[in-house]
Amino acid sequence: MKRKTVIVVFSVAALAIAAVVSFWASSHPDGLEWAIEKHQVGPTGHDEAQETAESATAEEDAGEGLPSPLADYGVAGVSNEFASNALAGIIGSCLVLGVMLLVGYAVARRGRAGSPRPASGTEGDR
Amino acid sequence: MHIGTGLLSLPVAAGCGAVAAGAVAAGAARARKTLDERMVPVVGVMGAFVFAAQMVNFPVAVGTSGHLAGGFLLGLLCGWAPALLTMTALLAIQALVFTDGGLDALGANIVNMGVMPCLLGGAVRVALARRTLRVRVPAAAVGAWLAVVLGSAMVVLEFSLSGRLNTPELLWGMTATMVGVHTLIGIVEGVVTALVFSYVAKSELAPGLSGKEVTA
Repeated sequence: MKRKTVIVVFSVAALAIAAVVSFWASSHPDGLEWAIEKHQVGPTGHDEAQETAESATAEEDAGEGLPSPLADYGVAGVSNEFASNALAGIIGSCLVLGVMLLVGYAVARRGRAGSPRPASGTEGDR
Repeated sequence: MHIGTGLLSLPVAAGCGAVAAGAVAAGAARARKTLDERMVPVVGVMGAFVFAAQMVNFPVAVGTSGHLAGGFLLGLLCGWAPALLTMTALLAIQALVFTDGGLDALGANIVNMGVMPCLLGGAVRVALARRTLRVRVPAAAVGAWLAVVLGSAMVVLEFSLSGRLNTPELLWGMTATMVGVHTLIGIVEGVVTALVFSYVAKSELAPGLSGKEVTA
């Protein structure tokens, strides 16, 4: 299997999962949220961190971050739930890919195929 | 396992932020030396795959759910440094764009779901590079499970240090609930990690995966 095959397979898988499969994701709280509710260790009512100027808008979404058009993996203004979830998933996956292409190429070794790696594998890599 | 807004005390949030920042700086320095340009698209696509997989919550016990974390998998496939950069980007995007995980808890979330699992995955990658898949695939499963359980314990520790678990009953109750649920979630993480790893390990994806050259 070639490197390109891996790229294609996981691109398709990422899009299919983000756009389609995730629609049927469980809506139960995740393990941490569930534990927080069960033991009531979350912010009770108005906690210190929520007394910001935006607290009025943040109230309906207590305990979560800044308002965003893509909050909670949906696109604001898209009424069809499937489309909203799919768009959010595709945008998110592409964002991660895009950021990592930028970061990766900025950071990656300039060395090309064929140029020897500097003694890797023998220097006792951690 | 994303910690939300307002759950951590300022010192804990800042401390975790400092640890995360240091680790990411070390990861960037390491990746500068070891990350091959040809691997960049692979790392990016695997990051997108982990993002997508994280959207799929599966039901666990009654009334709760879990989703893949993926840090260990990325560490195993790409080495800890590119994996950590990817998880950091992913968690930052989730917090900033999707309101998943608090901004004040971003450092802690990077430590729990990035630094620790990526280092663990990278360590298994290097330690077992010359073993057969018969050894490496089960090791991938166990390691991924361990990373999830350990991460859940780290969340409890951070809550405790933030003064949220002030009675022994609360501390032990929260520990039991978190570690218990994540013991189950970790099994799915382990199975998925092993499946993806055994599929990718037969490719020429990463030099290390064929056992010839391994760079953490």
